Amino acid sequence: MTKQPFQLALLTLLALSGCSEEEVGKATFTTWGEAYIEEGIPASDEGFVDGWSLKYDKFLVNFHQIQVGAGNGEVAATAPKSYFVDNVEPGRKQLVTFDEITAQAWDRVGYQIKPAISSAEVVAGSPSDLDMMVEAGYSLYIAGSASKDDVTKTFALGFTTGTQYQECHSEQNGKDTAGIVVTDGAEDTSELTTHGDHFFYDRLQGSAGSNIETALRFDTIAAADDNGDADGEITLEELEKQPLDVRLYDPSGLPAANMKDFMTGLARTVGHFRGEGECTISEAE
Amino acid sequence: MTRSLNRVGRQLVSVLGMALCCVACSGDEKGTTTGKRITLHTVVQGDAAVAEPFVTGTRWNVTLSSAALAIGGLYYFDGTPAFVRLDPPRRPLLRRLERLLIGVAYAHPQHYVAGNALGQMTSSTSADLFAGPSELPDGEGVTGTYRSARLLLPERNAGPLADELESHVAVAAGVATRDDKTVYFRVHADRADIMKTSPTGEIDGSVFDEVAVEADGTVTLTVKPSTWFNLVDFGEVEPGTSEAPTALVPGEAASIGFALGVAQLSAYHYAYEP
Repeated sequence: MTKQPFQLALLTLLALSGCSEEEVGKATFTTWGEAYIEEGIPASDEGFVDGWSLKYDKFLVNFHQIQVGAGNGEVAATAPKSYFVDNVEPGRKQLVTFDEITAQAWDRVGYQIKPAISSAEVVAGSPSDLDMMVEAGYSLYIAGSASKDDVTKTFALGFTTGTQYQECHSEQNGKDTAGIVVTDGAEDTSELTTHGDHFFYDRLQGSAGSNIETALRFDTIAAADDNGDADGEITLEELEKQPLDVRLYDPSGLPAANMKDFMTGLARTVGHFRGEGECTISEAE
Repeated sequence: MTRSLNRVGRQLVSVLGMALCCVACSGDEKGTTTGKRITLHTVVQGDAAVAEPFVTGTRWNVTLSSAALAIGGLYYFDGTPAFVRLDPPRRPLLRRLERLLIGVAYAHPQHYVAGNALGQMTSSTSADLFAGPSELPDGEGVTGTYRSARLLLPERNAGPLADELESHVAVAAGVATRDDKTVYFRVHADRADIMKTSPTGEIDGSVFDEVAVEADGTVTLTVKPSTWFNLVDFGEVEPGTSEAPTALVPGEAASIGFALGVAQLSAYHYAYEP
């Protein structure tokens, strides 16, 4: 007699729990530097227009605050740590996987590239490079060499910019898709792509008209060393003393009177989403 | 032709956006503080230091004696001001195919999204930036949070400085010194020069001091002509004299630098006062 209400309640509870079982999937984030970072940037109309070719030795990036959310402010997951990567190492590198994400469209995906912290996970690259980044306060660090005819210039440049990439979107199946779509029992993978050619563009903003093309240039960057100590290594100090060549470079309404400021502006454009995908960027908090 | 269509198209989008906003909000009778139609008085002025000496990014000491600007219209938005934006260069066919086949990407972050149009002053006019605050025709708008603005440069000049500006959108004169060289100069920028940076002839994404606009008020555009000179190197410019200043030659580096400076977003600052 007394057992019946208990059994009824138990059955009801089981039924309810069965009905409310949430459909979930996984969301994985990777990074890749593509051919320009892994193999180099050639001279030609598909690379530098002024005859230089370039090879990266290091392309160090610090990813923070990888986050999946929705337009209503709901946050599905935030990466528990930061990730240090040398994207010269070939292939796609896994940064983080969020298990048990509610199966639905998550249209607010973002991440940050900002100065390294010592607790970052070394996903690819040397721990000593992470130490160097932390000590210098770098978020991005590039090193390599560029050549034209019989001239070779080396460079090792660190940037301290902190950039928030938010509302990332990309073309999926021919449609512009905001964020990611997680389906029940499946794993969605997003690549936080880094573009190595952006440091050498000649405009800070894209042209609104197709009549104005953006090009990759290195002559003025190389000239920074020629006008500096001419030791073959281009430094940020030399780039700061190198005025913008207004015949070749257009700051596009943004402040940049020298090549250091110009390349620092370009450093903010390195991060992308799923290859060609874009994010809205702002100063990282 | 395409440029004109682009410009007209963008203006149309702005006007439509504002009209839609007005329509959407005009039915709001619940006393909310957004979406009410308002009148925006408009003032333009040179910044307080317009006549003071300044140092350019090219390390020249410059003192201006005059500066004037043509205005084709002002538009205000709720999007945050421009940050950095980059489009990919055009790629040859082989590279584009490679991108399609193996996923190599050259995309770009998008950094200025104007958002909703909230207000506008659409009359063409002009201003002497050494003359203190000048009233422009009234504009209109809706209540909301204003964050960024666009200056449209006119195809034909109008207003009190139209004759002085001739066909140019910005003119200035002054003296520049560096080391032992002194250059007396006058310089102008044409709309076509600005269109090399902004094909629509707009200076788009300047800072509008973020403010929740709730009633009629005054929008003040403060222009900082010193910013126009940040990229100007007078090193190859003839010295001239105070009586006969050297006119910077279009197409030469100093003139190009001036046009890039006129296109600088930070040369224009917008603020609202109730």
